[in-house]
Amino acid sequence: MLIAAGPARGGVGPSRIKGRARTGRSTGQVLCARWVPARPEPAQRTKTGTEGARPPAGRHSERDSGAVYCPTASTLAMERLVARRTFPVFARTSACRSLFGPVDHEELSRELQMRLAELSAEDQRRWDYNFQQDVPLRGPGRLQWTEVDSDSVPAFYRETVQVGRCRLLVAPRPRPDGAVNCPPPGPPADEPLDGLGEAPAPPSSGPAVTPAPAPAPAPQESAEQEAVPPPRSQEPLAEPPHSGISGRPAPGTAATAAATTAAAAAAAATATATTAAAGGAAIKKLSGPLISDFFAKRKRPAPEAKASNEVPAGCAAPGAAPAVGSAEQTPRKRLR
Amino acid sequence: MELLCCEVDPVRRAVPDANLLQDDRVLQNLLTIEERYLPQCSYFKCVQKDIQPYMRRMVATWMLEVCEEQKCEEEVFPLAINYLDRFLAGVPTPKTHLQLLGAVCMFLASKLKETIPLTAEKLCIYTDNSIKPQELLEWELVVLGKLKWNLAAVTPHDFIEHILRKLPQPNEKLSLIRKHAQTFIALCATDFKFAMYPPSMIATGSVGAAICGLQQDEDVSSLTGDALVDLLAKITNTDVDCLKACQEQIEVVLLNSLQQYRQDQGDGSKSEDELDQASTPTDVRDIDL
Repeated sequence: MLIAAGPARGGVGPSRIKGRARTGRSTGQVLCARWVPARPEPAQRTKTGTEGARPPAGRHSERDSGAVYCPTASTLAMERLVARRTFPVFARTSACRSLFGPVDHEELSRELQMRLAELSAEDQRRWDYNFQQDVPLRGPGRLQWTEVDSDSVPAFYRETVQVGRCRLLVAPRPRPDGAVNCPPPGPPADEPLDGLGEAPAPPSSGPAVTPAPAPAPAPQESAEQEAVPPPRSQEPLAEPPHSGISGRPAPGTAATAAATTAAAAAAAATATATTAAAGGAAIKKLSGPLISDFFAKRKRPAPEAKASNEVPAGCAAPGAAPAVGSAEQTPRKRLR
Repeated sequence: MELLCCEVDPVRRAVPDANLLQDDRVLQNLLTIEERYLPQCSYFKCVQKDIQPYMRRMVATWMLEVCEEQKCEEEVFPLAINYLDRFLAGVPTPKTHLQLLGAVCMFLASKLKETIPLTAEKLCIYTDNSIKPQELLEWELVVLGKLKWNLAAVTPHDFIEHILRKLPQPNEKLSLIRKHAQTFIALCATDFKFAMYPPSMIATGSVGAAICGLQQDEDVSSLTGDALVDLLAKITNTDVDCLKACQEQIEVVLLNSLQQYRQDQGDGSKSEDELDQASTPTDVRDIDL
């Protein structure tokens, strides 16, 4: 995962990063910016901005058929028929007209491409990030990007797809040209170079993708006392909420549940590792954000918590990379 | 056996929220942020090369017709015009793309304000299929980007209830005043003269013009003339002279529009279909002078 630190100008809520959890980043690696890109990249935006924003087709037919079933006897009902949008089918009226003659569709399409390019150039400048190639811009810019493990951020920031009513987590695909596995200690500006140059991801990156990365999560108490808590191992993402507070299997039903979850997590991890090795995109059921996802981070010692805050601390020190990635987050409602 | 009709309006509406409407902080905040959503410049002079003011009127009139025919919420049309003006203030646009832009703006405004928004397909039919739904969707993205996704603009409608609440009018008159004021607001949106006016001034002027217009028939208000203007100006912190000028301009636009309408009727160019719509509030024909 990359993290960018920079001035607070034009800060956008971190929720947008959802669209940023990158395909093409190596397994278990997510890019993350302190000041997060305002918009998903063009291809995705087309979905969210247009089709995604349109209401389901069923609702329209509902509206239209609502008119059809009106009783036509009373004048009141008749008025309502007229008022409902289309009755019985869309009747052409004088409002259906072309105002300025025929449209040159090719010219329109060229203009569209030009405007989209303008917008994307603007985005690139604003975020110091090449959204087409999905890499941060090189050189000293306004923002500094750092790659961190995708495990150290809440599931919310990882790429998901909507299938029916379920939101599924997409397992990151390995980058075609090989990818970084862990945050390089060098200055963040070098990251893109490192990312492109390194060898393909070793198997250890497999579990990092899953909603349940650690089959045996560390007990919370010990994590609290650790001076440098390893964020990855204490993210029991798939844990049931009732066991989330302690992070330790409770006796009785909770223990059973935890055991089940752990088993499932292990299975899922294996599955991902396999898929990642095969280079395919594994889709898994996302269990939803649990309060335990966020609890551990709040318990982190103060200096580190500060480093992981929204407020940019100048530029992140190389060593602080994992902590920055696990920035304190409020659980959010999922957006559809 | 009796037939029972349980038909209800499929569009469910929220009741007016007294917490919002009776709190002066809401009005103050609206007044504070409204300037942010005004177009940056008078774009016919500095940005647009191809588009002339009469073209904006053409596309605005068409948009109003579509919104009326589709029985859109009152706010949709002024909001769409706000998007149109803000986009045109920044992006040079050839006139052949203007209708597409108008459709996109209605599409966005409808999605923001309506429970059951207009569909892309329907809007394309209204352009006589001169654009394709796919193009509408693609351009939606461009418009959103250029507006910086800043869609929740303040419109004159946002002020109407706040203003009406503070007028010493009998309640039974309020709905008529509201209806006329809404018509004036729509009328103002079709005219570029008002594009740079803050929405609060248009709202105040529209309410003023509505009360004055109705007063010619009967006594709707205990306030008359200057006292009314003073009160209105105080409610929205508007300069009294600006408000008077604005109200006069609204009345002029109304007269022009009525004349235009009578001419059209004389030509017999209006179809039966359109005359049926005389009951819609945004219709100029509703206004008795």
